[in-house]
Amino acid sequence: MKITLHTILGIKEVIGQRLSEIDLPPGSTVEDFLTYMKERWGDKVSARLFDPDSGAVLPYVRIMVNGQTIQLLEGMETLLKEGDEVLILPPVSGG
Amino acid sequence: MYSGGYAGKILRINLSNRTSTEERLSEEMARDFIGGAGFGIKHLFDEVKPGVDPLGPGNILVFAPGPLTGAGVPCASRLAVTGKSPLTGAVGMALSGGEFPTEIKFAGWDAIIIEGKADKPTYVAITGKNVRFHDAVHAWGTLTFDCQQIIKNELHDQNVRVCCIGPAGEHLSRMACIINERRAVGRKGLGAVMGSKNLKAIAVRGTDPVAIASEEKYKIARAAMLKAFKDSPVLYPEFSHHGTPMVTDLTGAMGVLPAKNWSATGEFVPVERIGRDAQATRKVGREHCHDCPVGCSQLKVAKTGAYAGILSEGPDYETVYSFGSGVGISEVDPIIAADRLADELGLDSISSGVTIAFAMELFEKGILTLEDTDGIDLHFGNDEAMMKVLRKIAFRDGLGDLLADGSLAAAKKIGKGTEKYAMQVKGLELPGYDVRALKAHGLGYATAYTGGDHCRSYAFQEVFGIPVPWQVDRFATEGKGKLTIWNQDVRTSTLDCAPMCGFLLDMAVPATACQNTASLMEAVTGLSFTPEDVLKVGERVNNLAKAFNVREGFTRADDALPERLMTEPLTAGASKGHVISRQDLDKMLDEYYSLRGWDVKTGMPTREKLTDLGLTYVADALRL
Repeated sequence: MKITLHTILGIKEVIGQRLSEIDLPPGSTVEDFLTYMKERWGDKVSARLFDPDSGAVLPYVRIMVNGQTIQLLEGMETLLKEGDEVLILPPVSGG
Repeated sequence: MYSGGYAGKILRINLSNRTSTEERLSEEMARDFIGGAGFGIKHLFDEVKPGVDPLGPGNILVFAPGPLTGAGVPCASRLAVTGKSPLTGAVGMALSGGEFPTEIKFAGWDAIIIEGKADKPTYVAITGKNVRFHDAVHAWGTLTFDCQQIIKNELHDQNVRVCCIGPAGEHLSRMACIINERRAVGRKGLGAVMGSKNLKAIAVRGTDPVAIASEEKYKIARAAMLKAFKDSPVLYPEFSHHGTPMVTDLTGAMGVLPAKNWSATGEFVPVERIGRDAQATRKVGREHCHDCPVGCSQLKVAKTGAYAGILSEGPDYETVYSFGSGVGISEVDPIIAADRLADELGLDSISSGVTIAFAMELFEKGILTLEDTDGIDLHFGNDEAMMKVLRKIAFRDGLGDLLADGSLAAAKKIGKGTEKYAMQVKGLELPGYDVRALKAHGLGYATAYTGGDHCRSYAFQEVFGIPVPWQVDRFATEGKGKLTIWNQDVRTSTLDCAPMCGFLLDMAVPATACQNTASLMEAVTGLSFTPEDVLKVGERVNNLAKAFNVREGFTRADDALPERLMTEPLTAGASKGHVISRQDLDKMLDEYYSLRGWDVKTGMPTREKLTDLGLTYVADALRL
């Protein structure tokens, strides 16, 4: 199934583009999605997303599926479906 | 009694009879209102008669820094200016940074109150205790940057700090701002209040240091604050380098960057061309406010076409929205040029941009024609048109006269049901967050005592995902009344009264803001403050401001949102389908008023609540 990865700022710089289309097997979760990102983009992305000691997603990185933060869905177990957009946001502030 | 921070004196200037008097600052005032907006709103309620013309001599302007200003506290070179807003008729309060706020403290004043009206264009020069009234007839008509230089030359002092108005304030545009250096006391038309008083500028020079009550406590409190700066994952790594424009990338991705007068949010998302990276290509330096180690303010130079070579300090995020996506412009250079032009003319970039966007939508719909626009093609995206209309607004020339009082006033003049296209609350044009998918932020727009204002109730929980005081669902309405009260009271006390920079709260001390302010207050002033005391000041000031508005005739019906936000769901992007329905807003308002201890039906503060806050005399004044 096709999932759109949407990134901005520092994470976009590493990936090289704002929007990327990613093909994952049906039944994949957000955790699977992040594992795919680690494998595809390696340490540069990992350094921006994961705690180097625990391997957990950094507390200030926001992950949304179709605009909703995953903490308000099923967290890392959130199931993805065809056409979903995963938004990964580094810390931003100001305004 | 306080033994530091405060100068202990308030300067009252009467322009009508060219006199100045010194008033003592009481400990009670310091404890109950801290400073900044607290002082301003207290004087406004106590001294301005109900129903007074905001552009008449009966209005006042209070320029108030705070006890921490000038004391070496990072982020505390802030100034609140308060008066009755000519744009909204409600409390008008806006803040600015830079050097000017600190200079007021160095001159030995906790606040400067301006009253009356000069018989001719005047500027006031304050050097410590010495107050002089100068003829400003020759400076009348000058742009703000030129005016500041003229006054510095006249006073033979290149280090005097000046705030002034431009042509917009002189022509009483209700969107006029006050400029100090290249910074703005931007919103609510307070520049027009200066203009109505024939007050072109205030120049201040001071040399007295601000006393600190306890050096030992000060070192500890300041170090704790600076540690929070260093621990932030965003303050130094990102914000210090890129400033606020990076928010464009975030709101664009979240589908809440308003576009084309809020008719195309999520559809027109020119982030690649006006966001952080595009802005960075024009950066030539950055500026720091006094005692600020962050330096978020960006100096940029436009590079292309007719705009090449124009330098501006900015644009900040709000201006990227108001002169960019909001008017359908997707190039960075016109935004830089418009930012500079608005500063020089003395126009609020948010209100003027949103009002132009309003006119553009009417033009696209055929409600305004070339005959109405002085022959200007006002289609969305026409940057030349935007520049022309900005000038026209400042000088009330043709179409500019129609627009100079803001979008709501223009809609009332135009008629034909155009009020629904005026993106404002209580007459104040909306900042750059489409609240159809940020519900607490929307409730904040509806209930802020200043009108459609992001600075009074910024819901960083929804925009930035900061889980303080708790994690929220940005699409939900439940609990948003409680959240909005927390945001309003914390921001009012720690950012508007102390006052300190808003970015401090979002990036460094979201969970400890009241403790941070309490520690600094105790160290600098010697007055004992708990975090609860600090929060109570925020509640007190919000209640007093609300009481002022109630006395001016505002009711629950004014705590509203534009019809578009309640009836037109977002059509594209990560927030597609969301809307704040009338029912949603009513539900949030009910919760908000109830938890405020206000009357749910009328939205008015109750005697019980006002008495609890030590404001019984306010309840008496409202005949509650």
